Amino acid sequence: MYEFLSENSLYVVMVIVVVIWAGFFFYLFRLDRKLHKIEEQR
Amino acid sequence: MKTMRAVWAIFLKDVRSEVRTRYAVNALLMFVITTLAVIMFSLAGEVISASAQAGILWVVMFFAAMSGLSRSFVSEEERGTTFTLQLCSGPLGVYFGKLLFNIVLVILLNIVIVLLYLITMDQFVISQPGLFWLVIFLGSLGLAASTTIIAAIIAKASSKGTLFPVLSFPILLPLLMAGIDATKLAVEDNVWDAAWPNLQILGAYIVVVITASYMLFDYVWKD
Amino acid sequence: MKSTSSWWKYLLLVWIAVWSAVGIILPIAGNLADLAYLKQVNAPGEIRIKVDIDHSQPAEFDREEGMFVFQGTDAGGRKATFYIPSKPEGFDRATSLLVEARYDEERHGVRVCQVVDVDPGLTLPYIPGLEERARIIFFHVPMAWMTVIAFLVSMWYGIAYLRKHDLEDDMKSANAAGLGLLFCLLATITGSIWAKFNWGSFWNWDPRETSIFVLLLIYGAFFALRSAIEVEEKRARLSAVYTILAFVTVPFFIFIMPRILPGLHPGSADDTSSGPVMSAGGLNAVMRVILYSLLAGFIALFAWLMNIRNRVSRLLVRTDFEA
Repeated sequence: MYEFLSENSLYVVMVIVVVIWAGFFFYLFRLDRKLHKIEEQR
Repeated sequence: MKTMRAVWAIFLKDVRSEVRTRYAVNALLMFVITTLAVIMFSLAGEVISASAQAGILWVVMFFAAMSGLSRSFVSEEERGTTFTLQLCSGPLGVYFGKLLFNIVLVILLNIVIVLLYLITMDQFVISQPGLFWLVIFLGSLGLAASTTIIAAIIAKASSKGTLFPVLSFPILLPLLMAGIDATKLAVEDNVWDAAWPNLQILGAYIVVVITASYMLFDYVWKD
Repeated sequence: MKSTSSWWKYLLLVWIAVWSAVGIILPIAGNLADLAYLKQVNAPGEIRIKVDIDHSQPAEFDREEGMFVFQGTDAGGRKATFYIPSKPEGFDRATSLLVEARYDEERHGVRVCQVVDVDPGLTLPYIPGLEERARIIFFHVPMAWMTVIAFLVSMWYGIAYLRKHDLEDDMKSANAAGLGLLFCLLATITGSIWAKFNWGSFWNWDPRETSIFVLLLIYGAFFALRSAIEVEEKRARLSAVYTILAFVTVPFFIFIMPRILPGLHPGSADDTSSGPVMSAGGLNAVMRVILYSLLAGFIALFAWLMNIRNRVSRLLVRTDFEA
């Protein structure tokens, strides 16, 4: 894995982009949970 | 003039209550001695580099300040004297009085720490005493300046003890980094020029923190 | 708040997707100066270079060498003789080529090993030692800037609270800080993945890494402080004071320390080599356009997420009130 990434450095950039989108997805996911809780309270 | 008198009065009040209880002095002295003892045990005569020596010295100074200075506003809150202080003096008088007391306390504390460090650590030799003591002095001012306002903030929060280092550390990090670097240079016998950027950072840090605290203290102090 | 028009949200999605794709797809191409540099540091290897074909001297087949020979000029105006085993398709009509090439000691020319593209269009500059990893600038740098921008927004609403004592401002301040924490984590993670492959370890305590670490600590301390105070007004007041206090000391890290201390990031005190990456004047125009476009995209994304988060917070306050 490490060797593959260090030889194909473009994939390091790909991993980084995936990490960023995963971060935003995680944030949206938590927001979703929060909204769900509010809906249940009503 | 009135504020100056209030500053002085609050400073004297803190000194008197300190002399009476000797809380800070006793606890801090024991803290410093135990910390240094632990360091000496773990080093066991090992020869360490100048940067590690400077680092250890600052670690002791940082944690001593963390354990001693959080009391300054918490004690007022605990004894229920906050309201009396608010009646007796304006926020500026309180802030600068506490700041003055903390500065004196930290400077004395750091002098004791450095002396004990010199006695217990044979390899610790100060090559540039002028620069070294200037750095310790500026470092003490910075430590006192930033911990005073943070102590005022945490006095209003629950879980005061743990919160104090958590809030202080990020704010203090510029000071610690510049202080450690300058101390290392003073120990390694460098010319003053090498330490000049660090001294500038220390000086600017003190000015910035005290100015900001002066402007913000009102919001923290009034309920 | 009532505006439910969402055309700009679709635009935003397309905008970020397109600029990200551009940042990843555009080929990296060096020039003859890069080849000369590699020869100078005794690391002769194949790199991609872009070359304009000089058609005034038609390419000839050299029987002795068994290769075609043509003259070419690079973006910097340097000229060289190129040796290529066979003409690629469309060579005679092409104005430029993107080739894998190395410096040929025997012939004092450039030996083309492989033709990557004919008429490649826009390219990104080649930076020795970074290669494809140079593209990180488009994704990691906006994250780091957003961390600071979110912090600024948080402080802005903190100040607004201290002036007007409106709890709505405090809520916005906390939400901006929450997003700032997200950006800060992303900047730290992406940076350390990249550092592992470029500098050899995940964390090096380079001054700029220290500065993002401090930002992380400040965000952490901000939320620790907020969770320790129950009374809303008091919490709003004290956390606003803390953000301002942190903000006046943080510039020491972000703007002064990384520049006066030696370090690995571009723009450090001892940085002489990698000037082209970040120093404002030196950043290649194509890179700058992509970087700033993506930064603008992330700012808009921040605004949108912040808006959604604020609406959720308002709902939360209302349901608590009704319950």
